[in-house]
Amino acid sequence: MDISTGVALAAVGAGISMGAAAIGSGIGVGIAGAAGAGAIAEDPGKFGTALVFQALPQTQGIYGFLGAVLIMIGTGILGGYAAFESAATSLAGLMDTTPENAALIMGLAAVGGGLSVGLAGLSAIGQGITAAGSIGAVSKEPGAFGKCMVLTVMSETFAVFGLLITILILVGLNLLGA
Amino acid sequence: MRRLHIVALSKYKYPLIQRLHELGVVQMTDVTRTMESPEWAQLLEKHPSDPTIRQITAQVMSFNKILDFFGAVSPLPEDNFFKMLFSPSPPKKMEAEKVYGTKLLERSERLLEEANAAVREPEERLNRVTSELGEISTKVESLEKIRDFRVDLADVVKTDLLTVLIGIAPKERASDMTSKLSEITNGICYIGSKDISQIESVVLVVALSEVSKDVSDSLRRIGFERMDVSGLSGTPAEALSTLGERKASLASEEEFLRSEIKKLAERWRDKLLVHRELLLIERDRLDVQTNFMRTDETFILEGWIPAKSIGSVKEEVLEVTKGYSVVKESNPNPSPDDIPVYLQNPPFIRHFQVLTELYGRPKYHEIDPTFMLAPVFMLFFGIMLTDAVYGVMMAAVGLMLLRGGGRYSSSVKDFGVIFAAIGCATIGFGILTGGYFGDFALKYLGISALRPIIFDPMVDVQLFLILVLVIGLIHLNLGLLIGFKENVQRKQFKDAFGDQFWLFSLQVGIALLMMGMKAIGAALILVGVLLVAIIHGPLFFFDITGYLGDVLSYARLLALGLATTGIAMTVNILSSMIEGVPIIGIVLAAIVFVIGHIFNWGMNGLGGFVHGIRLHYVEFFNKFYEGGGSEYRPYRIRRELTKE
Repeated sequence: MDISTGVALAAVGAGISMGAAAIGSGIGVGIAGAAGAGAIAEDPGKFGTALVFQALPQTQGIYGFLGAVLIMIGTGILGGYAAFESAATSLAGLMDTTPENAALIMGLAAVGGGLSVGLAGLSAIGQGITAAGSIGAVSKEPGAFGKCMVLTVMSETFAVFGLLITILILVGLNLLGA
Repeated sequence: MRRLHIVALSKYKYPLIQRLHELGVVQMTDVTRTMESPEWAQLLEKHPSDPTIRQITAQVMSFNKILDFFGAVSPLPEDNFFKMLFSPSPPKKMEAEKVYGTKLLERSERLLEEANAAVREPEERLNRVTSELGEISTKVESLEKIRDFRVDLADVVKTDLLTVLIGIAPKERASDMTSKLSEITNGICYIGSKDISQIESVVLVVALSEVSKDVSDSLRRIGFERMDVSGLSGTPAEALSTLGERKASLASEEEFLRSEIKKLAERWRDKLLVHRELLLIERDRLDVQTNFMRTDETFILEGWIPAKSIGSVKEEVLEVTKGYSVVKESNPNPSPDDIPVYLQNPPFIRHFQVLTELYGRPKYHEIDPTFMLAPVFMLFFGIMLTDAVYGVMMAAVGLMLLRGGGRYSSSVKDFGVIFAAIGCATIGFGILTGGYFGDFALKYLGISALRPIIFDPMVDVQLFLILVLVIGLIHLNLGLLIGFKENVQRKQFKDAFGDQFWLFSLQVGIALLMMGMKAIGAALILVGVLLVAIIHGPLFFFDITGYLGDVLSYARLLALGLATTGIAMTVNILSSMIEGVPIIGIVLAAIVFVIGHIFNWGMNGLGGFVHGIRLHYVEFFNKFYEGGGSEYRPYRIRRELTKE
C-alpha cells in the first residue's frame, strides 16, 4: 500500500514540532542568559542561580523534540514502516476508508500535532522574559528564589498543554500507543 | 509559643543572660514596646547600652586586622563547591577556656599586644620589601626601553647649574622639540635622541637649571615622559643588571618573611580566632540588654518561648537567681503576625520543611502543610521521572550529599534526604511502569522480567492521563478539606462556603449526574454554583474555570513522565543506530548512551522538581495556605570554632 504521502506529511509535522519549539526555546534561553550574564558580572557567585533559571525555557525545546520523535516513531521514519502500515490499516477499519486514505489522514494529524507542541514552544520566549527578571530579583533577594521559580514556571503551563494535545492527537489517530 | 516575662535582681543579670544564652530557647523582644503605658514609664527606665560594647568592637576590629594579614599571606584552605557538597573537610573545633567579662577583655587585650608585637616587625619589613619591589619593576620596565642608549645614568641629575633629563617622547615631535627648546634656552641646550620603536624615541636633554622649569613644561606639552633614574649609575644595561641583583635579593627576603609570617600565623591564628569568637559571644550578651528595662535594683526582660520549654527554663531561672526573681508566662494575643513560628515535624518529614519555607513559613495559627507535601511531592516526582535507573541515580546523589556535606551542614542534609526520598519514589514508579533507561532493559537487553507491571506509559496514554487527573482531583480536594476545616475552626463561615464548600457540592453533583442520579446531581450543582455566585459576585464564573484549570494542570505529570520516557527511548534509538558504524560504532554508541541519559536525567530531574513544587505552591497551597509567618530565632550562642 502507498503510505508515502502520509509519511511525507508526518515529516513536515516533525519539522514544525522541533523547529518552532527551538525558536521559542532559543530566544527564551537567550533572554534569560543575557540577564544571567549581567548578574554574573556583578557577582560571579550568581552563576548557579542564573543557570537554573536559564534552563527553564529549555523545556519547550525538549517538548518539541519529544513531539518530533513521537511523530517519527509513529509514522515509521524512525524504526521502520511496518507498524505504521498496520496502524493505518486498523484506523481504516475504524473510519471505514481505505488504508491509503487512513495513512494520509494520519500524516495530516502528525502536522496538527507538530503545530500544537511547536507553536506552544514559543511560550519559552515569555518564560525567558520572566526568567530574566527572576535572575535579577534573586540576585538581589535570594529569599525570593522559590516564588520567582513559580512565576517563571507559569508560562510553561501552555507548553505542557501543547504537548498534551499533541500526544492526544497522536493517540487518537493511532500514531501512538496502538 | 508563650510570652515569657522575667523580673530579677540586677546582680543576677549577667549570670541569667549567660544561662539563657546557653539554653538557646528564648527569643528576646524589646520590653520598651510592651511597657508603653505611663505608669510603667514612671517605674522603669530603658536599659542603657553597655560602654564595654565599644571596647569589644574595637578589639574585634584589631583581631580582624591581624587575621586579615595572616589570611593575605597564608590563606586558610577552603573547600570548593563540589568538595563542600560531597566530601567536605570536617570543621575545626577548638578548646576554649570559660572566661568572660573583664577577665576576657583583659586577656584579649594582652593577646592582642603580644600578637601585634610579634607581627609588627615582619609586617613592616614585608611592606617595605613589596613596595621596593614594585618600584624596581616600574624602573626596569622603563629602563628596558632605553637599554641601548649610551649614557651614564649617574650624570642624569639636576645641579645648581645644569639640569639633565631623560625620557621617552613621540618620534614625530622630535623636530618640534628641537626648535621649541632652542627658542626657550636661546640655543644653550643639548638634545640627544635615539629611536626605540616606530613611534617612540628616547630623548636626553641638557639645559641650564635656571630655565629648567620652562624646559620641562614645554617638554610635557610635547608628550615627553620623564624617567626617574635617581640612584642609578652606569649605562642603562648596567643599571638593569644591578637592579636585577637587588630584585633577586629582595625576592629571597620576601620569601623568607612570608615563611616567617606563616609560622607566626600557625602559632597565633587559632588563639586569635578563639578569642574573637569569645568576644563576639560576650558582645551578644551585652547587646541583648538594650531590650530590657530596669529600676535601680531590678531589671525586666521579655521574650517568646516554645510552650514545651517553659518548665525547664523557669527552673533554671530560679536556680540562677537563687529565687530572687519572678517568672511569668502568658498566652500571646491570638491575632498578631509577629508571633514567631516554631515548626515541629517528625524526623523524616522535617527535611521537607525547606520546600514549605521556600513558599513561606506558616503563620502562627496556620496548619504546617509539610506533612502533606513530603509524600505527595515524592509521588509527583516519581511520576514525572518515571525511570527506575534514573531514580537510583537520584537516590545515589542524595546519599552522597548525606554522607558528604550533610554531616556538617543542615541544609545540605535536607536536600540529601529529599533527593534520596524522591529517588526512591522514582525507583518505585519506574518499576511499576517498566522504565529502566526507558525501554532499554526490555527492548535491547530482552529482560522480560522488567516489563511494566501496571501499564506502559507510552502505550496506555489515556489510562495514564486519567490516573494523573484523578490524583490531581484527590490532591485538590485534600487541600479544600484542610481549608474548609481551618475556616470553620476560625468561624469564617462565609469563606468556608465561598472558597471550599461550593466545590464539594459541585463535584459531588457532577459525579451523581454521571452516575445517573440526575435530579440530586443537578440540584447539588445548582447549590454549588449559587453559593459561589452569591458569595463571590458576578466574577464567580472564573472560579469555576479556574478550578477546571487547576485539575487540568495536573496533566503535566503525564507530559513530563512521557517526556522522560520518550527522550530515553530516543537516546536508545540513536545509540543503536550509531552502533551500526563499523569498528568505532560500539564506542560512539556508548558515549551517546551515557551522555544522552545523563542529560535526560538532569533536565527532567530539574523539570520534575520544579513542576512538583509548582503544583504544590500554585494549585495546592492556594486552597488553604497563606504563609508569611515570622521565624523563631532564639537567643543562642553561635559557636563556629570553639567547643562548649
